[in-house]
Amino acid sequence: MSAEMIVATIRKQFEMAGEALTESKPKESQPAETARYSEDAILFFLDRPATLRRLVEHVWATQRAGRVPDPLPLWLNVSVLFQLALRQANSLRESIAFARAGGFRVEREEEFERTVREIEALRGEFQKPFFFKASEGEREAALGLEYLDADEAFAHIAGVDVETWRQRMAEYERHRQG
Amino acid sequence: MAHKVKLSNLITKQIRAWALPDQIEAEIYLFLTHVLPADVATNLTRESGPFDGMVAQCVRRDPHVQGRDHQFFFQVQFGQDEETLFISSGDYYTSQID
Repeated sequence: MSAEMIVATIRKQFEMAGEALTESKPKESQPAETARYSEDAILFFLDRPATLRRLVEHVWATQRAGRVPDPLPLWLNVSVLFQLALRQANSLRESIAFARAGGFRVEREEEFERTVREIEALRGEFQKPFFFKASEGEREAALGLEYLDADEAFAHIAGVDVETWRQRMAEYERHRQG
Repeated sequence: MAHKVKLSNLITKQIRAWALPDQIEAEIYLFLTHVLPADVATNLTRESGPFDGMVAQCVRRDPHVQGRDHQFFFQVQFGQDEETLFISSGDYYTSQID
């Protein structure tokens, strides 16, 4: 199975687990049920670091072996898996907090938090775009390119003159801050 | 230190070819001219081998399509004055999470 297919399969698993967790989530007014739900959901979650670790190591090995012709989409798709896993963790963390606020303790809460930290650490390792390398020759070539000031380059990209581009950006920034 | 930013004709052509939505294009401009030069230590990843090169990454959420992220990678080099950042080339990809 190719790395791309493994990523797609794991994503489906994560999405299905996410849907199941959403469907079975108790109403917010039920802290006892939410505590039980959280304990079950944590079990779903505990194997995520191992799954992601195996995947990341497989992707690295495949890439080193030169079997990934276009690494960027693969790298991004793996990054999406981390986002999905951490988003589900946040939702679960809210449920745990709700149960706790209602006076109900959730078993394995510490284990869950440790699992989340493992996923975050692994994401940190993977986040670096490991495939972005250039030879000394390419570096020299890059320095030999023709360069424009940023305003000039973006004016060219937008097909306007530099002054129009600057006004457009000043207006955009005002709108963004307001 | 305030860094000046210059874009190669190659990355200029690349960004134009990506045909980004106006808002994303403006965000990339702000990232390259404000965010990156203001804090290069946070925004650049150093690649130690085979040469000392830098990559700047940024992600922007599409304002019109829910769950769509625009991801950018820029190869960056310091000029000899150590004040100018040269953006030589880049890559772009969109991902959908929802």
